[in-house]
Amino acid sequence: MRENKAYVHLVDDDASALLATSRLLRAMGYAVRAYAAAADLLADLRPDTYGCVVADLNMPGMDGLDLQRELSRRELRLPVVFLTGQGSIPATVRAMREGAVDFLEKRAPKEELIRAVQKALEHAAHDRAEQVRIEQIRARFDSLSVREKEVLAHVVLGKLNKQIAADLGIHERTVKLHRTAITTKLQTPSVAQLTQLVMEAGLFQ
Amino acid sequence: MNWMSLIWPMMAGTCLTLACIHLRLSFERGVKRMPHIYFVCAALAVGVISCLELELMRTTDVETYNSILSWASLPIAVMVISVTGYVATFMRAGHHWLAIMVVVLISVAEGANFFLEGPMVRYATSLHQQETWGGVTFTLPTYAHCPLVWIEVLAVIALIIFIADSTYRFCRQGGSRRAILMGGSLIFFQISSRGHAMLVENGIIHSPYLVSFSFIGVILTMGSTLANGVLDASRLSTALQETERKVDLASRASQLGFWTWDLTLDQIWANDVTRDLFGVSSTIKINSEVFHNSLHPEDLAEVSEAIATSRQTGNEYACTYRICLPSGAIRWIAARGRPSISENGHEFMHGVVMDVTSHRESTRELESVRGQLAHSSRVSLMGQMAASLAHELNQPLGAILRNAETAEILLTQGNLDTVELAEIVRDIRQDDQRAGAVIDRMRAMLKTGHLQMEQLSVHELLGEAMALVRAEAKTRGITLRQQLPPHQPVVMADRVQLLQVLLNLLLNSMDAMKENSEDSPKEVLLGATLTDEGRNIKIHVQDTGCGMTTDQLARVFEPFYTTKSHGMGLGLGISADIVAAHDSELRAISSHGQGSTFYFVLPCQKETVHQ
Repeated sequence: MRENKAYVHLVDDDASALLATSRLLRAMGYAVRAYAAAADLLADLRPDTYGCVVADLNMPGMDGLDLQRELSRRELRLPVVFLTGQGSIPATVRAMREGAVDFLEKRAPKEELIRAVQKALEHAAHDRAEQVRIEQIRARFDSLSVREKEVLAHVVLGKLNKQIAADLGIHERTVKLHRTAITTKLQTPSVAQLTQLVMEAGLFQ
Repeated sequence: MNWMSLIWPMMAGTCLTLACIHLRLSFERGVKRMPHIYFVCAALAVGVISCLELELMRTTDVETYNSILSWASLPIAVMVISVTGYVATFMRAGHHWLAIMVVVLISVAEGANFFLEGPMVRYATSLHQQETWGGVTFTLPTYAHCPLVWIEVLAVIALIIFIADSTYRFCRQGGSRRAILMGGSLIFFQISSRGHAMLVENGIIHSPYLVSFSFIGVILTMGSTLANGVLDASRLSTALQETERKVDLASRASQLGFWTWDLTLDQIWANDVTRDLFGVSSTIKINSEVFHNSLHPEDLAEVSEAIATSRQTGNEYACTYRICLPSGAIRWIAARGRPSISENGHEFMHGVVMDVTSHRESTRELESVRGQLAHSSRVSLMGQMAASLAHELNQPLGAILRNAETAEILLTQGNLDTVELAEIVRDIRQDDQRAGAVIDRMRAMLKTGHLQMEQLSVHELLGEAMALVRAEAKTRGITLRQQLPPHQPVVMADRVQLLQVLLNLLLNSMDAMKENSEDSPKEVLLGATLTDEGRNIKIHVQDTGCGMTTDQLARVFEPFYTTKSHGMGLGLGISADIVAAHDSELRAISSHGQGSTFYFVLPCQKETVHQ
């Protein structure tokens, strides 16, 4: 089952800061999961975990940047917001380059924190919606037979029915039948749309 | 009136004079008493013999003559026994049995002559008048054969042997050469007096007894000894005056005052320099009360204790104290002394005093400069940690902000969950205290002040140092470890300055690990271990950094020596100074590529068992 609720995953080694921040986010109506260390969060994550991460940049052991790197290594698409007691420019640049959503001072007003969390969750929701759509497309592709997929591969390359028939060693009429079946199953009338779908689903790459 | 009646009394007088002199000497302190008393007896006995000899020469009646001879036995016995006693007590070298033999034999011979009738040792049968030089006549007896005279002769021979034996041994043992003269004159006295008496008694020469004249040799020897003594004393007195002048000169030149305190009589003798230092005029008699009154009230207890300890243990007394001069000024005095007991049982203390006021003042100035330097170094240290300290402050401040914001939200939502609100307020208070503690630590490090020694718990000290650098270590990704002994040792130290040393060492250690590769551990250990069976504590800071080369290690405490691109190279030098002000030494061990350890050792004040 896919997890449907979005969680804010909070990581801070300072117990009091962790508690205070999670308290605020809960009061603002977010679902919060609090962790005292990056390793605790990583142990708790599942492939379908949904939401965002708010992490202290400066932590003993695995710090915020390490966590971010590990998340992308595991292909977990959780947007990260960093909190820091002291902002250092190199760390900020690195974090943003690796795809951090935002970078906040610990003492930033709550509006900034909320805005950053909101943005991160929107990112997550968008990612999630995209993922759902791609998965649906993939499911539709999966319904194609082996021969239909072979035909489709030729179609998106812009080949004519006659060429496809010659290449696959089948009758031109049979090619036409396959194309009709493909457009029906994928619900796409035009070749242009078909090509776009194939690219989005990441097939034939 | 003839020359005989003049010379014999003169001999008696001389003997009496000598006896008087030695009697006086026997009362002198520091002189062996017994030899003098024996000599007094011997001289007196010879004097008496001299008088009796004169009487014999005048007597014309045989019975009276024999009676005098009988009475003469007493001084003769006393003379022989006294000479024996003198030699025995003065030289302490001869055989005792010889001395005892002399005493027994002479007592027997003279006792018999005194108590028994008839011829024993000396006995006259008839008298006749003899004429000698100057037409003087005297009584000369014809002596009877005396059966016991050989006992007296034996006694005298034994005495001669005893004297010779004693003198020989005395000189062998390192006695003075004068003893030979003494022994010789005594032997001459015995031989000549007894020998002459023998010749007279056997009628070989016609002469009166001349025992007292034989004593002249002894008188001369003793006289010369006395004269030498007087001369020596005079020379010593001159030398002593010279020495005193020199000491006085040295005392004035060096401004070193001398004093002697007779504790039994409570009298203090002080030379002019001492009196000048204490502002006491030479007419005032000094005792312990005068001394105590001049002392600064705060130093009185310490000085009294130092003196009492010195008297008890017999060790040297050393103390530095302040005195209040009559003008109201304060003077610093360094005093040293040594207790002793004199021969008459008086307890004494001799010593010196010195004005160390200017030395104290320059020391204080130096301390002040050192304090300022240490302070600037602390400010610089705190500057180095400014970023991490700001971070440490931001943590609780951030938490306070979040909690306050939450409370606001809850209140505007009309959510009056009092349990949650109470928790929030409690957390705000705790975080506020946390932030306050950080600020307090910073303020303590930034304040100026003199060296203030106090009893410090090593656990607390190390804990504070750890708290100060924890944020910095976290920022740099360094693991901080602490190693504490199971007991809670206490040291005498200045809290802030010792913290500064630890902070300096800890930051240096962290700097040393800058070049560490990703996979090599970055660890700093701050530890305290008991050494020397718990009498001392070794406080050490150890890192896993790049270490130092032999050359770097040798120069590490030099001022302005640094391997860092930033930094003045003063931190370690100042730390070493601070540790030195705690009577210890900051040391380093290191080998290149193996990390370094800096440590110092402080004595433990006491040990309290960990609760």
